[in-house]
Amino acid sequence: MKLELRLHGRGGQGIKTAGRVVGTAAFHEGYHVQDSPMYGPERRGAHVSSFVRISDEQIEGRGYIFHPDAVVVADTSLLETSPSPLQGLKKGGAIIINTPGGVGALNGYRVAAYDVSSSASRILGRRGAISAGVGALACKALGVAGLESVLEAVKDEMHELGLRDEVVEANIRLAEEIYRNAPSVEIESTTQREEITTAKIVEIPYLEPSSSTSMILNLGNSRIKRTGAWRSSTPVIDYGRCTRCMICFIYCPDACISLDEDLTPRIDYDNCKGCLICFTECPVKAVKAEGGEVA
Amino acid sequence: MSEQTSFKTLRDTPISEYLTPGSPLCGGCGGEIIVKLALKALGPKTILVSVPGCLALFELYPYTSLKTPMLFAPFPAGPAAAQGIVDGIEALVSKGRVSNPGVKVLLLTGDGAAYDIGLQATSAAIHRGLDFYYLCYDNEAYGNTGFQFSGSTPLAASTSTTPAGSGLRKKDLFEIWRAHNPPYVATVAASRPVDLLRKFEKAQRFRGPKLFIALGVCPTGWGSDPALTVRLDKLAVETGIFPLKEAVYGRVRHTYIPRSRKPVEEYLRHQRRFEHLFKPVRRDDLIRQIQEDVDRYWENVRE
Ligand code: SF4
Ligand code: SF4
Ligand code: SF4
Repeated sequence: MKLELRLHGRGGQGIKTAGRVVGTAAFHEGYHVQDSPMYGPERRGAHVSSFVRISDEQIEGRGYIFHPDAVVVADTSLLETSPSPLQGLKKGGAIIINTPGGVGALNGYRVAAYDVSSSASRILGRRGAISAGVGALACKALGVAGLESVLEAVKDEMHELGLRDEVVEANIRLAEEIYRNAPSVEIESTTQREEITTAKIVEIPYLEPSSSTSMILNLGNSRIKRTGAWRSSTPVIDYGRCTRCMICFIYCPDACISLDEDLTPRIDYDNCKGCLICFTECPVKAVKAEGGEVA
Repeated sequence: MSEQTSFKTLRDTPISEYLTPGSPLCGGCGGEIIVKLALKALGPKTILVSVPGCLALFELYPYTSLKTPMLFAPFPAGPAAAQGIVDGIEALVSKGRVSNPGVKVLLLTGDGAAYDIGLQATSAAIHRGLDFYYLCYDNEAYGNTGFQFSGSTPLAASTSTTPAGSGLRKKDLFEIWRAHNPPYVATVAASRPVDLLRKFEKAQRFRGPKLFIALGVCPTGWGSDPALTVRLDKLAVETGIFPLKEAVYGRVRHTYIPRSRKPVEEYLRHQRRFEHLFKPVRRDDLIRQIQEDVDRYWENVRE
């Protein structure tokens, strides 16, 4: 067997770990395995991917997988993004997808679908990090590892993340439930699709850096972002006490305190993050900290 | 300081602001205070260059918290990008397209770029005598990617890649930079705004590389209370852990000498990254080692 798998999800779902679960499980089955995440900014919500190669012979290939035999899609909304998670999928290759509903858009593909997020929210109490579930789904769908290897892999990888024992246990339960109930999918052939085998050299025209680079021309526009929603406590200035000493103005990291002409400090509550440096540093204790809502 | 300065007391802090509220940086970020103050001294005709790091997020398309332009460059390439801007301006001047632009180029990086990834390019830029400002906000780890160990991580600090505490000492970047003999190198701290403003003012007298290391108190990575950012900064200075100094053409002068240094413990105990020095068992051996390093440093300071 020789299988190349590419996993797609959003930052925070645990796509890197899902790839590791598949890799480790297949390794326990005695295969040669290689897994790696795509390196890039791992912001929450960003499109992230990882790669797994599984083979009964030594693996020669390295790096990204451009023509996978199967892809895992942990978040259906990614199907609308470009580049699509399906890009480069081989003809007859499989799509393994986490979805609550139908897979109409995927007509004509070989699909194994399962609602991993709902199981996760029931068993883990949250829908976010679903690496164990996605890993188990991929293992079952592709038949690369038996239940025992999968659970062992989940245990290893969850411990590796430093999770508490009860969280590891819950992830094992999640993996088991999904493994027992998820469908399998056959990968028919492993030839590359026509449209992607005919390589084409695309000439990219020269563009002025000013039109090929993203630019922000409205300097200082972050004010409209309203980071005030981050705040859990609110600084309130007692103007009777305030000596107009400028200290809070100097130390507010976000420039949320401005000064009137007579040096009276004014707080921009739309953006104040509530760090309370002004509260700590005011020498005459003129800044009070109030819990919760905007003053 | 008997030198000419327009910054004598806190009251002289310029009112003009070149940062706008609403940045994506963590609440209580110490690095942000540093940049805010540095720009007050450098003024509106400053072009920033940044590389991957927290403070590059001042500009996160389609928003920016800066009222001055900023160019974003790859991780190791900050000094090269700064060179490009300096050269570009010079070319415009020589073609007569602008006259006397008076523009300052400020490279802003974290310690990851300054101590590790961009060190080689910085060395080359200082060597070439590039006329620029370099401000490193030093939060002592790769803060933007999850607080991994960097060449600046201090002894015993826990990071995501040294969970039990680093066994290595911090590189001495001040001395590495100074060894290149640039006109001006200085350290600055947010809790000493007048000292900071004066240093950025003084640097403007020199042509060539003007380099700054700022303590970047990082509540997120250090595990400290955001409200204590300036307090911690002050403690770093008062314990002698973060010396305030400058070197003009290699000649070092301390701009503040803490008369009776506070024990390092007072600084360490407010930070989760040093929590393991206090519990479950107190690690007097490590605390003492950190104290001895600081004491040894100041023994050699005579002024
Ligand atoms: S709480 Fe923080 S962000 Fe808000 S005004 Fe005070 S110093 Fe500024
Ligand atoms: S620090 Fe306190 S006294 Fe000083 S200006 Fe701010 S509120 Fe007023
Ligand atoms: S991680 Fe630290 S340095 Fe980075 S923005 Fe947050 S507080 Fe500032």
